[in-house]
Amino acid sequence: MINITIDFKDAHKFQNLIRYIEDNTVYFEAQAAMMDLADETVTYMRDVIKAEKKRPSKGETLEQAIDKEILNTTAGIEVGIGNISKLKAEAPYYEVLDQGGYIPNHGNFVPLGSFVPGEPKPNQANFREGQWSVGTGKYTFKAKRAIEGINYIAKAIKNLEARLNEEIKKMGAKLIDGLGKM
Amino acid sequence: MPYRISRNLEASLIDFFTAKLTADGWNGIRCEKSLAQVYDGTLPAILIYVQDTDTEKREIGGNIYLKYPTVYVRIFATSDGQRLDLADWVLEKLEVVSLPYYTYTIVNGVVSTKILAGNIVIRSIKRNEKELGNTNADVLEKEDRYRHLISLSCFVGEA
Repeated sequence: MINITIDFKDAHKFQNLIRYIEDNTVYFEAQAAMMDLADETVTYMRDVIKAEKKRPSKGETLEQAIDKEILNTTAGIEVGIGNISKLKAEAPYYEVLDQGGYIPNHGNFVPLGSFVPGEPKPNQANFREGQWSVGTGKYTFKAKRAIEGINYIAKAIKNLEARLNEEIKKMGAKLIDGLGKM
Repeated sequence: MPYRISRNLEASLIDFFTAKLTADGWNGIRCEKSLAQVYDGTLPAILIYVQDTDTEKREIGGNIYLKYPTVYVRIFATSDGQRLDLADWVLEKLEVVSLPYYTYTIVNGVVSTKILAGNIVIRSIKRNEKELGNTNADVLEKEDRYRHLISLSCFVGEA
């Protein structure tokens, strides 16, 4: 939430300002601009992932899982980008791809098992009879190198900050223009 | 070959934190500049690198740009307590009056000269948070279990 404090010594002018804001001249425009920014941020995030991912041929699971959600439009606007439950279900490695690290619990593995009969001292006569018996569970191989994160969340936040500043400047200019007409 | 601003900044901060770790009695904590180096060794480790650099024209019509690098300080700890301790320690150390900025010259992969050339001024600390916090810690590898990110926006001022 953005809190703005305006200190007006002239009560009459302050009342006019409140009336001006209540006229919704800027409010609806600001709301529309915020919605556009949310769409833009989703697109930006997807573009960063597309541009920086190492294996573009592997599909667009993460890009498709990132979307915007309107959470509240009463007395303000609240938009969420990237529903964590959805991301966990559809693109479980979204955090590792962002921040870098090892892909958890994933990769090549060998099933746990044993050689049967597994005599401690092999019987040379029966050496062909022993066979691999698959048990339960698996042993995962750790990837040799960790993934370099692409920081798509931080990059999108940075872009959003810059765009938000531009929009606030535009709104501010309109508000000042409106105040001049009071 | 002389380093330029990003690598000078990285090397200056690594030197600064390495000296402070020793002075404050932290043992066995490595300060690295690449993710691969962190994963190649043992924990705990602190990874320091320039993530990106914002630029802004110094004056209208001029060709000189002001540079505002974003430095990531990533902590790879062995326990959650250590993660918090190290994060607080890093923030505490950044509150110094002046963070020295050196220019380095490298010859055959070794530092040939290191000259004090300014101060690193921290403009803001934008992120100070646990990393991979939404991923189930049980499935994370030990290197990724207790990670913390501190993101610094800074610029280099004259000495």
